Amino acid sequence: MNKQNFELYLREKLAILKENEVDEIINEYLQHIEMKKADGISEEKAISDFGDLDDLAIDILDAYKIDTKSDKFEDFSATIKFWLNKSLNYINNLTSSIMNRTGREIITLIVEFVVILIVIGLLTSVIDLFARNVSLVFYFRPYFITNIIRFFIKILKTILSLTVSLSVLYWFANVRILEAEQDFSLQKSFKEDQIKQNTKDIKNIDYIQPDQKPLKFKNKKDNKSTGKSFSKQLVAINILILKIIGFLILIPMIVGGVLLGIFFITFFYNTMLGFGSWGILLIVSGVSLIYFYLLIFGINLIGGSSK
Amino acid sequence: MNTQFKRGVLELVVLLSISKEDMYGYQLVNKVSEVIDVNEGTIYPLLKRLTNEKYFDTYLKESNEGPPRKYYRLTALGVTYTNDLLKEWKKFVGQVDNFIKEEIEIE
Repeated sequence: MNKQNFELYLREKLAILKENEVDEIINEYLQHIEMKKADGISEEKAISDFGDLDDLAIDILDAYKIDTKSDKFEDFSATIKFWLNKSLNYINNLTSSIMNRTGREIITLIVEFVVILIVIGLLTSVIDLFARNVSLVFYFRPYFITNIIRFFIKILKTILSLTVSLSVLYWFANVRILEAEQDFSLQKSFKEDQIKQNTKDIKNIDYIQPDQKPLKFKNKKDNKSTGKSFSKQLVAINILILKIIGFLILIPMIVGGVLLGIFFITFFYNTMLGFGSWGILLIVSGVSLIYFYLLIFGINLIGGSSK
Repeated sequence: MNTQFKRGVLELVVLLSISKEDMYGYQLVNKVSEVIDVNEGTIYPLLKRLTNEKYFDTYLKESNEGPPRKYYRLTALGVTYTNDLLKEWKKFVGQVDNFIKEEIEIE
């Protein structure tokens, strides 16, 4: 293979890269060949020393992986993926911590959630009322200016209501659901520590007095613990199934609730006077959430009462 | 020599060669070829990759014969990376050596 063919072949293989980068690479290789020639090695030999050109092209493209990654589109999709992952994790945490509650705790949570929704509805309707009154102040000729100002007030109102509602919901999720969960897990780990400590003590006794008695005692304990872990496994499987079903129902419910809310906002916007439209959205999605919890709750209550 | 072995060491050899003095591609290929019998084509992509990862930067320097040459220089990041890699390599070789000795003793 001669220099021209080498260049053509490599250019074709590296076509994905930017042209100036390909030029840079090719130049370096051509220089290399020239220097080889200056050292008394033939062009053919110099090129064949590069080995298989397809492998070479793969190696070069491999070296550019970082460059293609920093592409704007890739960056964008990576951020989307990151945030999607993060929010999914958050939802996952939330639902799993809800699933870990007993029936009574879930009832209190539902009541609290409804209260929170009402609070949000009140807050947003106050904002709505305020915005309405403010926009009434702007009423003068020429009217198109009035309209523009009112339009901006409307946008501001929507943003404000959305921020208030979301931050209240976020606060609720963090303080009431996730932090309570942490307390719960703390208690759990404390208990586990205690159990570990106890077993340690038993082992120590065993070590000091290697009689028949403690050995028997230990065997008994072992049998018991295996039985327990078996039932624990059953419970764990049940919870897992519940969680899967919960996810399958929860996501369409929330999506359906939000869609219904948006439908209400767009079609009955003018008739829903004095009541925050975002409040309606949240209440509709809240009702669907409650429906979902009731569905799960029927099963969970039985589990709770058998304790 | 096993090609997989070569690939693993090649990066370290290239980094250590350049840590002594700045070099242009052809010079580096010759230097590395003294230690490892390596396919010359693989060194340039490696240089490219190390440059993209900011371990190297490059500058052009006029030469007496032919066009200006592209020199590679180790960056501060490259120095720490080289040291880390060297440590890792020594540890790895030590472990493998010990393992081989133990295995031979058992036999």
